[in-house]
Amino acid sequence: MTLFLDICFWMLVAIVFMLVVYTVRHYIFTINRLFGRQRHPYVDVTVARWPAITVIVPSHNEELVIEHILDALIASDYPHESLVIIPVNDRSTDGTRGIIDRYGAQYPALIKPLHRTDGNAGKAAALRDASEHAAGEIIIVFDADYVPGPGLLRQLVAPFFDPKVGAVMGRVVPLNAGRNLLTRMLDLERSAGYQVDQQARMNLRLVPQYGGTVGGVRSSALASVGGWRTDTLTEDTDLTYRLVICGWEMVYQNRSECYEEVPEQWPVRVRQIARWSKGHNQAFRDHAASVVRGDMRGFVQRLDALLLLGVYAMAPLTLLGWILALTLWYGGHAVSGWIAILIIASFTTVGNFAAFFEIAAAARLDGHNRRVRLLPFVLFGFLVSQMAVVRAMLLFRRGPMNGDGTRQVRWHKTQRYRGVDCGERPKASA
Amino acid sequence: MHVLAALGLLLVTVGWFLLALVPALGEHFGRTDVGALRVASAAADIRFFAISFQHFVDDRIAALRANSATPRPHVATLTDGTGVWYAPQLADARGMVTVFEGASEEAVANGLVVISETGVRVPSEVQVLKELYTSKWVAGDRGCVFRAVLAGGDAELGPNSEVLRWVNAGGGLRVGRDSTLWGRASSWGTMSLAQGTRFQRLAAPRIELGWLRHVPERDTRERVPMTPPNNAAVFSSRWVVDGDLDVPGGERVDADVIVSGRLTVGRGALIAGAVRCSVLAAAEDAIFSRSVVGTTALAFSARCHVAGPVVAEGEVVFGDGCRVGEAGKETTITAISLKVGNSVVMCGEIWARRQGVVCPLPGPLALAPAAA
Repeated sequence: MTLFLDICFWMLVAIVFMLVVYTVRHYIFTINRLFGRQRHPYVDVTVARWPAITVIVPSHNEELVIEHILDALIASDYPHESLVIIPVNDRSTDGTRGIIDRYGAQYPALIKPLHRTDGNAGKAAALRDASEHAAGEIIIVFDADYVPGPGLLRQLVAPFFDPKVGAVMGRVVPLNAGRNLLTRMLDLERSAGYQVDQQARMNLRLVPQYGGTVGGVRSSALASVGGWRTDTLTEDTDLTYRLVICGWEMVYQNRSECYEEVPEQWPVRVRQIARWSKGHNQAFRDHAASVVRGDMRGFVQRLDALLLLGVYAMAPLTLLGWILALTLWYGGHAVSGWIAILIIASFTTVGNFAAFFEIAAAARLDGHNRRVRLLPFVLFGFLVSQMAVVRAMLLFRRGPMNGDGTRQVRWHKTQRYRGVDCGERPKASA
Repeated sequence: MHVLAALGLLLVTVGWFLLALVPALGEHFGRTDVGALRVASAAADIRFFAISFQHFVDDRIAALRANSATPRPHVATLTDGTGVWYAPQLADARGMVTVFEGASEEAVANGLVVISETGVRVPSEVQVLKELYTSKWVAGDRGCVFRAVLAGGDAELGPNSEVLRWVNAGGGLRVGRDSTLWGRASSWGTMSLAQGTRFQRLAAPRIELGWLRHVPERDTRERVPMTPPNNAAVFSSRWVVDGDLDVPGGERVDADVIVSGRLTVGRGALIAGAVRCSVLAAAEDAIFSRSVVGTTALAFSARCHVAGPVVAEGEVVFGDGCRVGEAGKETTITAISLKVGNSVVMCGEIWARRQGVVCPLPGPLALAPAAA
C-alpha cells in the first residue's frame, strides 16, 4: 500500500510539475505582452507591388454566411488583377452551391467556384483540391463564417515579402461576443489566446500557430512539406509543425483582425473543443518526436513547440491529478510544503491559475476593462472544456482507411447562428 | 444551537464564495461591456487625420462663407465654440494672406484653427497652435511651428520648422534644413526633405531626401551567376545559408537568399530574389530586385537600388544616391530608425518607428553595421 501511495505521490508531483511549467509559460507570455518589446515587423508594409494570391473559402452547407464573406472579399482593397477567390463547395446539401455559382457568374475573373462531390470529405481535402487550382505564390484561407475587412488581405500578405516566412496567422475576433454568457466567455478566451499568447510567441520568436483561417501559406512552403494532409482533423496545427520543422517561419499579425462567429450553445462548443483536442493530440503523436529530436532550431523554441503540442494532453493529466490527490488524501499519505501549495493552487483553478491573469491582461490590452469582471465564470468554462477534452480523448476513434492508406475524415462543421434571428448583417470593418 | 452555528457557518461560507461572483453577476446581468472588439484599420492610413480634418472643414466652410461679412481675413467662431481665423477666397487666384492677419494677439495665443481659401504665408517663428487648412498653398518661413497642416496645393516649410502631428499637401511638400516632422507627413506630389530633417512617417509618390544631385541611370551591366557556397542548402529558388554569406562584387544570385548571419554584398552585385538576413552590408551600386528583410540592421552604400519593400527590426542606413522603389512601383521602408544620405530617392511610404534623419554619411566601410 505504501509503495502504491508513493507511486501515486510521484505521479502527482510529475503532473504538478507539468502544470507549473505551463503556469510559468503563461506568466512569461503575459508579462512579455504587458511590458516587453512588441514585434510587428510587417504591419507597416502597406504599399508594395502585391503578388498574385488565391483566397480559398472551404464551405459545407454555409448558405447562411457564404454571401457575406464573398461580398467582403470582393470589397477588399487588394488589387483585383492579382486576386483569385476559390469558394469550395464540398458536398453541400443546402443552397451553398447556387450562391457560389451566382457569384462566379457575376465576377468570372475574380471568383472561380470549385465543387467537390467525391474524394475525402473535410476542410483539408477541400484545401488540397483548391490549392491545385491556386494561382500565385500565396494562398490565403478563410472559413466561411468570417468577415474580412477591406485591408486584411494586404496585411496578411505583407509578411510573405520575407522569404523565410512560410505561413501567417491573423487575429480572430468574435463578432457575436455579446450574445450570451458562453459567447462572452469565449470572447475573453479568444482575446487571451491571440492578444497575449500568440503575440508573445511572436515577440519571443517562438512558434505562433497557424490557425487554419485568417491566415495564409506560401505555396512553395506548402509543397516543400508535402501539401495539405487530408487525414487530420486539425490540418492547421499539423501544417504549423511540418513547416517549422522544415525551417520555415510562422508569423502572427495581431493587428490583422477578422470577425468570426463563436458557438452560442454549450453542446456546439463541446463538439468544437473536442475536435480541436483530437486533432491536436493527433499532431502531438505525429510531430512530438521530431520536435524532441531537435529538427527545430533552438532549445526554447523546441520546448515551447512541445508545450503547445501537449496543451490538450493536460486536461486528462489534470483529471488524473485530482484522482491521485484524492487517493493520497484518503490513503493517508503526507503531502506538505511547496508541493501541497502548488497542488492546491493548480487544482482549485482547473490546472493553471496563470491563464486567468492572461485573460485579464488581454481584456485590458483590448480596452475591455469591464468585461474582465466575468473572469470567475471562466473557471466554469474551463471545467466544461476540461471534461470535453477528456471525453474526446477517451472516446477517440480514428476513421476507417481509404484505399491510398490515408484515413477517412468527415466535415466537423460548427453550427452557424447568423440569420434572421441574429438581427442585422455584420459589416466588414472600415 | 449547534445546528444554528453550522447553518450560520454554511451561510457565511456560501456568502463569502458568492462575494467573488458579485462583480461577475453584475456584469453578466448589467451587460455594460458586451460589444465585439472594434476592428478599424483605417487609422493606419497615413492620411487618416488629414482626411478627417478635411471632413471637418467641408462641414463648416459653407457656414463660414455665409457668415463672412468682409472679404478680408477675420476671426470667427464655429457653432461648437471653436475659434477660427478665416481667410475668404481672394479675387486674385494667385494672391496670398499672412496668417493671423487682423487677429488680436490674445486670440492667437488662445489658439485659432486656420481655415483659408487662399494661399497662406506664415512669417518666421510664428507658432500655429491649432490645425491649419488652406485650399491653396502654404509657405512657412524659418522656425515656424505647426500643430498640423492640410494644404490643397503645395506646402513649403522653411528651415528649422517643426510639425507636431501631421502635414498633408495636395501638391508637393518641401521642407527646409534641420526641420522636424513628428508623426505623419504626406503629399500627393513630390516631397523634398533637406539635410538635417528629422521625420517619423512619410508617404509620397516620390520622396527626395537631402541635396539632390543627379539621378543615376539604371544599371544594366551583365553579372556572373554566383555558385552557392558550401554552407548553403539550395532549394528550387531558395538558398538557405547557416552562417554568413558573401556575394562577390559583379556577381548575381537568381534565388531568394535566407542568411542566418551577416550578408555582405559586393560592389555592383545583384540579388534577383528576396533577401532575409540578420545583418546586411551592401557595397556601392548593389541591386536588390525584390524585398530586403533584416532582423537586426541593414546598410546600403552609395547608389544601391532596392525594389522593396525594406523591413528591418533595427537601424537602416541608405548611402548617398540610393534608390528605393520606382515611380509607379511604390514600396514601403520600415525600420526602428533610419539614416539617409544625400540625393536619395524613395517612392512610397517610409516608417521610422523611432526616428529618421537626413544626414551626411561616412564612407561605405563605416556604413557596415556590426555583426548581430
